[in-house]
Amino acid sequence: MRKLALSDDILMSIDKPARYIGNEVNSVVKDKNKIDIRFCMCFPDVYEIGMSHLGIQILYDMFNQREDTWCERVYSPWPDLHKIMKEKNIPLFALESQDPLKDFDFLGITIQYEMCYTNLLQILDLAQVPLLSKDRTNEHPIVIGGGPCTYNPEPIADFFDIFYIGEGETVYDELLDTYKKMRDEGCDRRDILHELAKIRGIYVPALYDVTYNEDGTISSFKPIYDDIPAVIEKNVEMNTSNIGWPRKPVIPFIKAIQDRVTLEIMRGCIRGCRFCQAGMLYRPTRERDVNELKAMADQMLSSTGYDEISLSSLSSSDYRPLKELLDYLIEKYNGKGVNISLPSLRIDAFSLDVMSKVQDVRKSSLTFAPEAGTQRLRDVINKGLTEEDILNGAGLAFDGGWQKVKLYFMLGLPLETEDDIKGIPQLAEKICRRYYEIPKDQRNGKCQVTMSTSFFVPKPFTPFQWVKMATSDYFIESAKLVKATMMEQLNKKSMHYIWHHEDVTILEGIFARGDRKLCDVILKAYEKGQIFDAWEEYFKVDVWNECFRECDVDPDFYIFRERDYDEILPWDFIDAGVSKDFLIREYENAKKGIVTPNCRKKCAGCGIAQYKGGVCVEHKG
Amino acid sequence: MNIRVKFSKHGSMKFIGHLDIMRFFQKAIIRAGIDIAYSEGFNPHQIMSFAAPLSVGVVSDGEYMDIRVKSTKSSADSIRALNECMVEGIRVEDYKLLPDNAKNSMSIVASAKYAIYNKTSGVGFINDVDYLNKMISDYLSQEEILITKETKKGETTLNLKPFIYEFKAEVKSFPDEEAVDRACLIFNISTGSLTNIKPELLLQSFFDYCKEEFNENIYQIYRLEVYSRDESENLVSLNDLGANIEY
Ligand code: SF4
Repeated sequence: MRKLALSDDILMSIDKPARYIGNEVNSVVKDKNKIDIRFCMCFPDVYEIGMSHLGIQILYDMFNQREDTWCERVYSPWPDLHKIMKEKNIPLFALESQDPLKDFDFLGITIQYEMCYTNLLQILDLAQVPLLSKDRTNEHPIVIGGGPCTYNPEPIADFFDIFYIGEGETVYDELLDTYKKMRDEGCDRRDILHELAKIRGIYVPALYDVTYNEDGTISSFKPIYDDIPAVIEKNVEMNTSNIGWPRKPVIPFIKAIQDRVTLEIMRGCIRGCRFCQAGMLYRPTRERDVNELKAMADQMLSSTGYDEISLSSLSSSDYRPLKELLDYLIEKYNGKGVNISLPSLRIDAFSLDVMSKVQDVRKSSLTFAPEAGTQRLRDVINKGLTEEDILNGAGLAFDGGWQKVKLYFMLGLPLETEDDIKGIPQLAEKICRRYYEIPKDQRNGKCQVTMSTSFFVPKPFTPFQWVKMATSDYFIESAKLVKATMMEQLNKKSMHYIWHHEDVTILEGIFARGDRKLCDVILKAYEKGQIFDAWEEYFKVDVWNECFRECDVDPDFYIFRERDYDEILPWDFIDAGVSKDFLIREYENAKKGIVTPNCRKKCAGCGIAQYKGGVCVEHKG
Repeated sequence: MNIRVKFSKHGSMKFIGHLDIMRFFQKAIIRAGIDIAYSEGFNPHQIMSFAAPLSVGVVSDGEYMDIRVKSTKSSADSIRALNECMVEGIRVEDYKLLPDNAKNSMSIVASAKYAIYNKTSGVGFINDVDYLNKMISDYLSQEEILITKETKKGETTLNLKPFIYEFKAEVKSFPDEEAVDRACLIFNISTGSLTNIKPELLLQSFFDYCKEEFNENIYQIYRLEVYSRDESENLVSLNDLGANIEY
C-alpha cells in the first residue's frame, strides 16, 4: 500500500486528515520511473475550496493525457498542519505520490484572488523551495503562476519564475517540450527560462527591468534581452472543441464547496459591465457546441456518480442553445437521482419555468444582480438590467409561488452619490410592494428580500482601472446609510441586509493594481505569520499596516489616486486583447452615463476582433 | 430487493470518516451501474443504511451497508462491478440478497469483534502473548469490571463484564503491516443500539488493570467482524443473514 507523507499520529491530531492523503476516485497515479516530467498543480487555499475549482481539474486532465508527464495536486495545509510541518521540518508533498514538491520539475500555482498571496509563500516555504525566484537553482522546480491575478502579476513577480498569461489549453505542450529538451541537454535554469520567455503568453519577470519616476510611477518597463517580447500577448483557445474539460473529475472524499459536476457552457461574456474584470479578460465570448456539452455532461456524470450537475459561465442566459441543453438534462436526469442546479439566470418566463421543474419553489430564491441602486448608476457601470426587468421578473416569480429574493449590489462604485446608496433599499421596497399586491389569501405569508453589498475594487483591464478607490470610512458610512434607509421603508420587516468586511477589500484593492514594490510587503507579512488572509479569522489589518510601514511603502499610492491616461500602469506590458483606447472610451462614456450595447447588439470595437472568433464573427456568419 | 454489501477498509482509507464513506458509496453505486432504488420526494435519495459506524483511524474487515435495488445481477458480477469502482484500501467482499422480512443492519447489530496490536512492533504493551493471556484471565475473573461511561446525561458507572463475549491474546498477521506476524488482543464486545461498548473503553479498562498507559496513537485497532443474534441468541455474522445471488 501507498505510504503516506504524514504519520498516523499527525493525521489523527489534525482537522480533516482526508485533505492530505490523496487516493481520491479518478486521481491519477502513474509509474514514476516511466515519467519525464513531474508537475504539481496547486490551488493555494484549503482543500475543500481548491478541489472545487474547475480550472485545475481541466489542466490536471490535460497534463495527464501526456504520457511523459505526471500531474499531481497540492493545496494549502490548514494552519493546524502548517504549524506541525514547520516544527518537524516536514516538506510539503503532492497528494498522489506523497513525494516532496521540491523534487518536481514544475510547481504550477493557480492564482484566483489577491487574498491568497501570503498562501503562495506558505506553499513555497513548506515545500522547502526558496521564496524568491532569484535564489532558486537547477535543483529546484520551476514555479509557474496562472489564473486571473496574473493579468497583473507584478505584486508577486519576485516569487515566480514564470507567469502563464491566458488560457491553459494553448501553449503548455510547447512549454513542457522545450523544457524537457533543454533539461536533458543539461542547460542551465536561466537559459531555460530565457528560452521559455519566447513562447506566446509566457512572462519571466526576472527578464524584465522596471524603472520608476520620482513620484513612484513607472518610467520604463523593458525586457533585458532583445529576443523576448516587450509585450506579452494572452493565450486564448479559439477552437471551442479544444477547450478542455475534465473527462474524469477527481472526487474528494470530504465535501468540497462545489460538490457536483460543473459544465462550462461558455467562455467570456457579451455584456461589457465596466466594473467586471472577467468580462474583459475572457473575451471574446465563445459558446460551446450544445451536442458536445450533452456528451460531456453524460460522460462526467457517469465517470463520477455525482448526484448533481451545474452549468457554469459568466452569463448563462446569453448561451443561445440554453433551452435545448436544459431540456436535454431535465428529460434525461430530472427525478432520476441527479439534481440540476441552475446558474443565476435572467429571471423571465423561461427561466422560471425551468426553475419550477428542478427546484422546490418555496425553498429556492431568485437572484438579481443590479449592482447599483439607481438606473443612473447602472448606466455608469453599463449594467443593462433595468428596474422594470427586476420588478417584472420578481412579479412573475411571486405569482408563481416564489417568496425569496436575493439582490447583489456594490458600494463605492465610481461616480456614486448618496441617492444611489439609498436607492438600494428603495429598490428592495418596490419589490416587497409588488409581492404584497398579491391578495393575502393567495400568498404564503411574508416575502424575504435580502440585499447583499460588497465593496467595489477597481481592477486592471477594465474601464475603471484608472479610478480612485473609496476609503474604508466611506465603505462603513455607506453600509450604514443602506441600513438606515432600509429602516425607513414600509416593508423593512421583509428585508434583510448583509455586507462584507471592508479592511480585506482595501488590501485587495492595493494588490489588484500594485507593482513590484509590493513583493517586499507580502514577504514581510508572511514572515510575520500571515496566511489565509482570505479567511476573516486569519486576516489581521494591524499586521499588514505594520508591514507597509516597515517596508516604507505607501498603500494609498495604489488606491486613493486617480491615474492619468498616459501613466505607465504596472500591467501595461500585457496585451489582454482589449485595447487601451477602448477602455478609455468606456471610462469616458461612464462619466457621461452613456450605455454601450452588448456584443450581439452592436460591436463596440474593443480590439478582440483580432482573434477572429466567438461572438465577434457570429453575426457575420 | 434488499441487499447486504460487506466491505473492508484499510490503509489510508481509515482516515475517511463514516459519512464520507457513505458519500463515496453513493457515487460508486452509480458508477458500478447498480440498479439502486430511490426514496420518494422532491430530492430523491438512495435507499441505503450502514451498520455500526467505525471511528476514524480504525481499519476493518467487517463493514456492512444495506441497499435496496430494483433489480440485480449475480453476487459475483455485482462484486466485480463494485470493485472496479473502489479505491485502494476499500474492497467489496460480499453482496448478498436478504430475506424479505430481514431487519435493517443498523437495528440488529449485537456485537463486534476487534483486534488491536502495536503499530510499530516492539513499541507498546502488546508483545508477550502468554503474559497477556494470563492478565486477561485475571482481569475476567474479577467479580465486576466497573468503568465510568460518558453518556448524554453525564457519567454513569457500568459493569463491563457481561458485555465482553470473548477476550484473548494471540499471534496473527495483518494486512496493513509488513508480512510479519505480531501479537494482538482479540475481543468481541457488545455493540449497537442496546449497549454500545467502544473498543477504547474495554482497552482503557484492561490497560488500567495491567497498570499500563493506554496511548491510542501507538496501537492499531482493527474490526474483524460485526454480529447479530439469531433466534437462539447465538452470535452470527451479519454476512450470514443473506444468501448469494447466482444466475
Ligand atoms: S470586438 Fe466587438 S464583438 Fe468582439 S468582443 Fe469586442 S466588442 Fe464584442
